[in-house]
Amino acid sequence: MNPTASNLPRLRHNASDAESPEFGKHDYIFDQYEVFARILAAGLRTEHLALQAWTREGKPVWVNLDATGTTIMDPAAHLHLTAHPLATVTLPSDLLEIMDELNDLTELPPGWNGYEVSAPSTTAILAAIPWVQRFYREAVEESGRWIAPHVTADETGEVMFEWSNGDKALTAYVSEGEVTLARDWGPHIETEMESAVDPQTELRREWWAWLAG
Amino acid sequence: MPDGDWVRDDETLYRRVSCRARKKDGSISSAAFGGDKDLVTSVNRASLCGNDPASVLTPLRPESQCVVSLVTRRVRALSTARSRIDVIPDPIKDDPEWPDNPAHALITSEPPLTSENTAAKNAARDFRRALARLSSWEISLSPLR
Repeated sequence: MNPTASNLPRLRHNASDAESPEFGKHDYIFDQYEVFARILAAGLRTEHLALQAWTREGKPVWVNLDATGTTIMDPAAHLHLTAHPLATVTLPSDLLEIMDELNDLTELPPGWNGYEVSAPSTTAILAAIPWVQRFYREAVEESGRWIAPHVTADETGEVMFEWSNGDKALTAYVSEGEVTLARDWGPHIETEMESAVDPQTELRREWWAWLAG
Repeated sequence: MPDGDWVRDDETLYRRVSCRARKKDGSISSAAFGGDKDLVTSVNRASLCGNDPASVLTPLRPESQCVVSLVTRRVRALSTARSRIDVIPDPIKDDPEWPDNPAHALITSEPPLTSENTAAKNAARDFRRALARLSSWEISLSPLR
């Protein structure tokens, strides 16, 4: 019998014994493949892929949910997947949670907040993955501290990361070609808010230090 | 008694939001204020809907809906030298899409918010973050959950 999306196991928490020198950490591989598979299913290809298991060698085993018989496939055989550069990065658990939340965004339909919002953009989600990884590294280097963000999308489908620390808040709006970083410490727009488009490293670090301090 | 032509400063406003707007620290995401037509914010006057926040929920997937409230005075206080923020009555009657709703009102900006360029888009984002800061939860998890 073919597996279905609902009865396939999520192996994120029990695959940790399958080490792979190629990828290092399977939790991350799972997330990346899953995000990418959703994108494939959403538009680039018509196949619906799902992760079924990890091999002893640490390779993900995928099934084609659209096949009449179970089709085991190696994602490495897919040019799109092997070309994905993020699959070689090992992530800390703080970032794995964010990857899950970004993955969840791919499931939101247009109008997901009850109003006329666009569905989260897949290109924005893919842009957000390396952006937040870099920002995480900068933040931890700067302050030795990480605050988990709220991960959501704005009305045009751009990815939003919202950090709060008491009255201080930092928000990043990430799209394919642009990032806006905004900080605020009260509701008054002219005196308690400021923002920067495509902020450079120094400003990102400065604003994080302000938030975390 | 509420005035049909004027929203008093002390009136409470309800807004239906997605329950996904609840941030990890319990505060309200500015994403709760996105998606209104023409970038005006749709709200309901509490005094005209029985001071019942649940009255603004819609039948479509009510389990995913929550409600926040704002006070009109604080919303109007967001006005600056360059923009005037107001709350105006906008009762819905005989609309082809929406049921009649005498409590409906709009949070408006003059000049109007736009998304025509990055600066305008960021100004609209600032405004939404300001509204989120002024909001309080009325229903933070749906009673139907």
